Amino acid sequence: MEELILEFKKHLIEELNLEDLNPENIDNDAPLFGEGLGLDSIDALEILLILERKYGIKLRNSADAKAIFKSVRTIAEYIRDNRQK
Amino acid sequence: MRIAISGIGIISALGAGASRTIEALSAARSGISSSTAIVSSHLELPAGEIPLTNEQLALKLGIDGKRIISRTALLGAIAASEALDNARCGKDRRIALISGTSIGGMDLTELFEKDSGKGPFSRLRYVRMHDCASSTRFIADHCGITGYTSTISTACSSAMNAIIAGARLIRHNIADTVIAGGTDALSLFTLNGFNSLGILDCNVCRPFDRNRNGLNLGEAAAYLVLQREDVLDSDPYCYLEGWGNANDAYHQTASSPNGDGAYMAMKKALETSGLETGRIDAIIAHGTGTPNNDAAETQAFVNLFGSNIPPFISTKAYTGHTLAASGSLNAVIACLCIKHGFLPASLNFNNPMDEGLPVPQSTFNNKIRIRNMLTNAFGFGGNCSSIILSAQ
Amino acid sequence: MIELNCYIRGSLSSVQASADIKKLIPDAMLRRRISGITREAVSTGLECAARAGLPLDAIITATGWGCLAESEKFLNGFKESDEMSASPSAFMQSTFNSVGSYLAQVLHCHEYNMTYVNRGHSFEDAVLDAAMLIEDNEAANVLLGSYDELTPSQYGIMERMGFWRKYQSGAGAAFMVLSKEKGSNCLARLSGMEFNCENMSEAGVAGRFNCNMDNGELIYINNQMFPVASSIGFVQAADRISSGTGKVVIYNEFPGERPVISILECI
Repeated sequence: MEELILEFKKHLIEELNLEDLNPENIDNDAPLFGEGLGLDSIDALEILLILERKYGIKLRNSADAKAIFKSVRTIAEYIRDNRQK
Repeated sequence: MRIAISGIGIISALGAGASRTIEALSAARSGISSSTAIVSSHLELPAGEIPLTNEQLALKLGIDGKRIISRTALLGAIAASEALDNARCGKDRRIALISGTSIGGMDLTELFEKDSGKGPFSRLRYVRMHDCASSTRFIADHCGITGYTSTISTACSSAMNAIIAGARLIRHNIADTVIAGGTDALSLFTLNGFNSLGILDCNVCRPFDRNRNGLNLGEAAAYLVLQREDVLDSDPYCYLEGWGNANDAYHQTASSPNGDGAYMAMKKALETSGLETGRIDAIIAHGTGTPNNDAAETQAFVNLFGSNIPPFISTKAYTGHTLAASGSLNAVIACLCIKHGFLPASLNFNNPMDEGLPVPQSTFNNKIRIRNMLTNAFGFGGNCSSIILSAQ
Repeated sequence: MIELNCYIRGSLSSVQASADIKKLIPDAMLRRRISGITREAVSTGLECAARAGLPLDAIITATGWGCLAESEKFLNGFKESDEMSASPSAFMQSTFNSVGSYLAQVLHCHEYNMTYVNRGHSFEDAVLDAAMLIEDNEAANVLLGSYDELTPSQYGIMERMGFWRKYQSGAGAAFMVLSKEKGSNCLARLSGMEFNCENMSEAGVAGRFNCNMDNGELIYINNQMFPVASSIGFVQAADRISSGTGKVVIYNEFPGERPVISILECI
């Protein structure tokens, strides 16, 4: 799990251009949007693309997305349970 | 010095020309179809496509249909020449052209990319018109305009800003007649772009409805002939009395929740016109049908007009969001509303948004007398612009 | 000739710019998406504004070709995925007004904001707009600038078109602050512009405007196939005037377009 979290964080930094951050700076349990990391709606769409391209997960139902996208840990758990590749 | 609107030209999914546009608006008939036929995409999304191929558009202009010309340029030339004819402009006028576009010749560039399997043999004629100014140059050449020409690209407020820039050219006596407006063709680039942003509705859009779920793309070109009052060659439709350009300065794609940019653009337009809020009889809103835009825009209405918000409509469910052309498309429709005394129904409105937010006019009104009409166009990058058109 | 009267109170090209973008945009979340030519243009604009030190009430940008690298990235992205997925960031950054928009966000400037995309004359269109805005008292200090990049694929296409046999290539960004008042930091006065001129030789322009060529009074641009050339010319002209030249005429003949002439004078 810790390995997956680290890997996902690296994708996050790369795809979201979070160049000033390194994986240690991102709190596994802090909120990603608004408070916390402060990501926006465009980032949410980029995370959807990470899930699709890197893990073969198509997350179409946006109602689910809100709960899954709570923190790095919730996303990593979702990847662990649903990954196709 | 007043600036008159003496000619209009329009082509959209509602048809080519002012009379087709009025017919469709009066009949509350949408031009949006369930998927695109001419721009061939895998994305099955409703769009306001003009049902004419580039070859057919070229023939309308009386030019060889085999020539490789961008769709943006073809649509622009059709609408701009209609506007110029409509104004019956004298040949000795100093005519300028200001055109807005966000996509330029991207439709051809896409063909070039498709061609790129051929490596160095991909056809260069497909990228010759890539840049935005090439559509403006084509329109100017087709209409025989030799004066000042310029091109503006502020995303979906481009054409509205072209009108504002045109007014300034007249005020400063750089031209006495300006053709101002915008043109944007449908393209795979914008279809995929707006799809990637997750803001395209897979049904026909529902501006200002609680259940609105995004916009539909459309294509159009619309131009107005702006003339100094003392050089008119025909009876004007109305006068350009106010304009405002502001920036939301909030986010590249999202509007601020309070609609600050929208509020400022409308307020500036009122200030340049010298009109009080109570003098505005109707509004053609930007009203794209995205949750974000419509909430921000109506909040700005509340902040500016308080409890006396004039009747407002969106035209997006008729034509789709025609991007860079949307501002002048609405301005042309506003000219028709003022001249003929009607206000179209805002289509697909069923459920009011949150409490406290106003609702659009959802029925056709052909008894309205519009003295002053406010029209909005907002774009990515926070670019917000508004104009006020007034009867004699 | 359109007579104008406003003052250049700051000018900077991307070659001269030196400030660290992290200092110019302390907010890392706002800064992170600004890359490539957008980064070059935004940081040049911000440094130019900071050096002028004036409250800005309009932002006008100009570009001939826009953010080509982002456009290519997005175009290739959705082609390669067969329109199944595409990055919203690249699409968002590909818009022509993204530099003007970022400048507005960083500077918290809610006022007039415009972008001209008119090939080799985009910058002159922006200058004219700024000068008229100032004359109309709608703005006192306008930040305006021009930027263009040259991507490898565009270079290759233009090479096939034969342009590089005749013309120079280039890229970059240049910004100015144009003001109503002279103030204490004025570099030069913009006194006039003429659009749609006849094509003229270097000697022809010098003769018409009585330019002393030895003194650097003419900047003659006629073989530069990059739209940002004339804005770099404006920065050079302002530098020359502030170091003693009486006037500088900028003649900009972008290949295939009618020339534009701009006149800067000492104050």
